[in-house]
Amino acid sequence: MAQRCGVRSVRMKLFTVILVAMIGIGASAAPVRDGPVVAELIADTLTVTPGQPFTIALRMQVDSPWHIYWINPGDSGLAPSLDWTLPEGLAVGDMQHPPPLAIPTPPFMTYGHTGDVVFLMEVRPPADLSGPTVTLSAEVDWLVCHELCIPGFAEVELSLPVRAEPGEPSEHAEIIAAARSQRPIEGVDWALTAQVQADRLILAASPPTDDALPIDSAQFFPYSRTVIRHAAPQTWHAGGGGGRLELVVRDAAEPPEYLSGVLVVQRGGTSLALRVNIPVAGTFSSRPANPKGT
Amino acid sequence: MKKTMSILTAVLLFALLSACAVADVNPGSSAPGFTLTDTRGATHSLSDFAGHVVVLEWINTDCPFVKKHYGPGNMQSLQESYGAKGVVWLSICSSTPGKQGHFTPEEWNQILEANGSNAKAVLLDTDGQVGLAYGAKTTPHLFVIAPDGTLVYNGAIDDKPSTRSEDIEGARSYISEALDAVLAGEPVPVARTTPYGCSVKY
Repeated sequence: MAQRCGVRSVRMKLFTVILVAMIGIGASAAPVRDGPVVAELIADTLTVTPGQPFTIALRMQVDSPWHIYWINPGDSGLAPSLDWTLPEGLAVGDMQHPPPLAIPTPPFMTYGHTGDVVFLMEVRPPADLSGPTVTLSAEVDWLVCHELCIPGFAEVELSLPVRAEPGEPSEHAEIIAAARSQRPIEGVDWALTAQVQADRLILAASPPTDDALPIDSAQFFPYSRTVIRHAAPQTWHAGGGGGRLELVVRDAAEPPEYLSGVLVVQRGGTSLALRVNIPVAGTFSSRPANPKGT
Repeated sequence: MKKTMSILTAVLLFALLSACAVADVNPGSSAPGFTLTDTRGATHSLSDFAGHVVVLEWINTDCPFVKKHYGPGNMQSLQESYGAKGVVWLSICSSTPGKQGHFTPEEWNQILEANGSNAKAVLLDTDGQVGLAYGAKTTPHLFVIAPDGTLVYNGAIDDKPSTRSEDIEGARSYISEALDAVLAGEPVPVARTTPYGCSVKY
């Protein structure tokens, strides 16, 4: 008995040490490729502290010239979706979508993403989280297109050691910080209004008074698929420090109570994305609309 | 350079195609007339079917959303059961030559033989004019026309936008509801929905 145990127990101990060492490194599981997309879960921290929120991301690296879709894909397509398997008591917030690109499919229009796409999510581990590791797994479904479309699927996983001390930044902390800086902002000091004018919806935008940078162009991406004609040109009229964007509504659409989405403005070569969620004034009619007042 | 050229081409094509008026045909309006040739060389006009309920189903057999419904026989089963009730079910392909989903009539007949279809005919809208007249955005995209020529449904086949066939069973079938209503002479409960699928390859 003692003789048999001798060799085996050394091997077992070595295996355990290696396993513990691997867990100790605390990296995400390997990225998964399906077709033109490589998917993985990344975290901004090397370890998890019970009760301490941290940021993760679904990272999808999309080979050129393919694209995936925004939360409102536009006239066709399908946004990616995540189905989580999570430890008890641990909550993950909604996927945060980067500002989209307009991707025409003549004569229609879609909204999507290309290249290295990072969807941030906040994780709230419970205060009573017990170690030694915590594992988040998800099934990711997406549609990736270019001329033709391919449905994609990946099982992605993230395992991190649980520690009492605050976590050190991971190798992915920078890419997560960059994604955070590109998210649509609330634009609290911006004046944003939406007004019906004949058969158009006019989105007026004015930057804060101390911001002198003129807006060269703008594009509005609605969250709803049924409010505007995605393919209609959005004419920007600059004026008074900001300007007005003309949106063409879908035929026979009743004006929505709120206009929600992302306004991307181009100023001096850089783009700024603003979150929009504003009441719509006026009603559609053949006569010029009288503003109801905001 | 290539990327710039392809973007420029897309923009130019977009401008050209946008210039031809893309319709948005609302339920309650008159369904646009058309005359198209099918995969067997026969010509069909919408007016041929006056007095019948007509379904127009935009198709691209290589699109994963179309495969979702044809793979397990869902589309074929709808075509057959409603066909038996006198509904004229027409599949229409608006893929332009060179783009996905475009086939010669001979290739089409092989595909239909292999995959199965119980549609009355598969119409070839090679120049995309009928698709544009209806505002067909996706494959699939379904339109239901009442016997008097009024459009009564425009939209998705069901309420589960996905490429998974498993999602068909639990889904609300907008097309079945619309057809049952119009066959019974009743108003269609949900006349307009957002269609889901691959873009039509104009």
